[in-house]
Amino acid sequence: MRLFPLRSPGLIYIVTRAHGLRTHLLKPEDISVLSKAPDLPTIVEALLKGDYAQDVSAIPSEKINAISLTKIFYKKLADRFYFIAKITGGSLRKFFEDYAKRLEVENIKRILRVKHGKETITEEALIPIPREYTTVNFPAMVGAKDLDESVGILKETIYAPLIDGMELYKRYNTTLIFEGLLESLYFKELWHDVEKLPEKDDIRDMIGKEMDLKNLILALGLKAKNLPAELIEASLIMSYYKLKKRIISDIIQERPETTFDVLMGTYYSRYFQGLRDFLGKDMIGDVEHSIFNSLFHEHLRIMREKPLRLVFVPAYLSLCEFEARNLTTVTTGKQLGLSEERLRSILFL
Amino acid sequence: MSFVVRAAATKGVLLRLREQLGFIEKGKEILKMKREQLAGEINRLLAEVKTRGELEKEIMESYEYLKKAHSMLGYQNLQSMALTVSQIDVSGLTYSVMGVIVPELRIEKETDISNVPSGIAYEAAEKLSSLLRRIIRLGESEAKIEKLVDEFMSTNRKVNALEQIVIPSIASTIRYIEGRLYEEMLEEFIRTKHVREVIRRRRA
Repeated sequence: MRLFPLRSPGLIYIVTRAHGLRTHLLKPEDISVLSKAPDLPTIVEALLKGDYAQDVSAIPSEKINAISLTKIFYKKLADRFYFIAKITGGSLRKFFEDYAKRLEVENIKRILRVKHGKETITEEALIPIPREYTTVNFPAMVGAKDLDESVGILKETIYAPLIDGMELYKRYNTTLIFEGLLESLYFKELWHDVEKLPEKDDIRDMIGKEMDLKNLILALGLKAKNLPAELIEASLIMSYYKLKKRIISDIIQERPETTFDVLMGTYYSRYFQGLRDFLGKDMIGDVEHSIFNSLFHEHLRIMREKPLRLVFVPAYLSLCEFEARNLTTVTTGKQLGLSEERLRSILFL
Repeated sequence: MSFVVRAAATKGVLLRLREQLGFIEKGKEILKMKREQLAGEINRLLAEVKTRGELEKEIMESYEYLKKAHSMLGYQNLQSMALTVSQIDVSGLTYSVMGVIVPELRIEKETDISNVPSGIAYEAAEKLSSLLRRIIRLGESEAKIEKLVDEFMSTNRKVNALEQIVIPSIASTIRYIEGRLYEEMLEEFIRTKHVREVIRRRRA
């Protein structure tokens, strides 16, 4: 029998709670069944039996559509993220609060894109984040007259380095600069928190892989757009785990035909096996989906193989995120009339 | 419909009608040439418009990519990404083809999709933006065809009217006047001969 060192009650509590919370998640089979539903009302009927029942039943039937449902899925995701943060303390709480900041980052990205497009945005278009868990003044950002003012509002937050990114933004007129910076700041903070966690090796591995793979997807996507190397480098995540900075530079600078071979020489080669054709045709959307699907399965495996470790909790949170994405895909796809086969090909199953 | 030219049977009128007929014949030839030019231009544009079916098929395929991106990213997220795409600038001008004012659309600034952050959304944007130029060209060709066909039909009606009604009527009036003048000339000749005979008989 394998013995673990004595663990804190808080750690045991959070892992146990995560096991309980996990039973509320929809299984891949459930998502599969939903994808076979003939229409949106059938999916809504199925959702009324689970965790989403309260929120879904609160919407008047005539207002039920993919947009209102997506809002509910992401509200539930935020609730799940912040519930975990709420029931923990100390370094664990800091880690889970910072983990949930990916929703905050997503909101900032949305606001900046809209401000860049000189359009107006309402808070309705954002993922609802409880006020006590965010340092960002979203109402002020939404109400700002332009992108400069929106970015200026981030001055007192961990996203303050975005203000320095303004110069590069003005030179290239692209929000990709801010998106890369936001991801960098997010992962930098999370990476810092991981070091203070008990059983940090597993979590570092999980977060590190996600960070590296996101960085690779970003680099491949930006290269496919033939953007200048300086802009690509400025739009990437600055932290690395198993990935070498040199590899990213090679991907950016080498000819597109050699990209696959470069990737095959990395720690992440297995994620890209079978994607040669997609990479050759610059089908980054399919590459992105395939990589995230691999991550989804990896996180399922982590939960299966390490049920008593702390990594079970971030893996659960990751599955919550995949559930929100899957449900968004199923409901929107059904509303748009995507075929079952096509729908299944874009789900994380 | 009949077209009758009322005219006095005089040599002056005959000369004027012959002059008019020559002028109308020339006008008819010019109109025929215009008609041929318009038909040529319309045929050339029709070849462009024939790609409409193919284009519509490609648009439907692109919509599939858009549906995929929409489903995977959700409406709000995709909408925010769509706002990073710079708008296409198109200016509308006009020019003349055989006197017909036709529209011309000039793309001043292409749309820039390089800011789209997600690969899935980028694929959809790439497919749709590549079709945008062709959709604008097709719209321009269809508007030109509409204008040119109107003018072609009007020219055709004019040529037909000249060929079937105006020219035959003038020609028939000319023939009538020529006949009348010939008869008058014969009458005059016979009268002259008769007068000469009377004078000769009186002298005898």
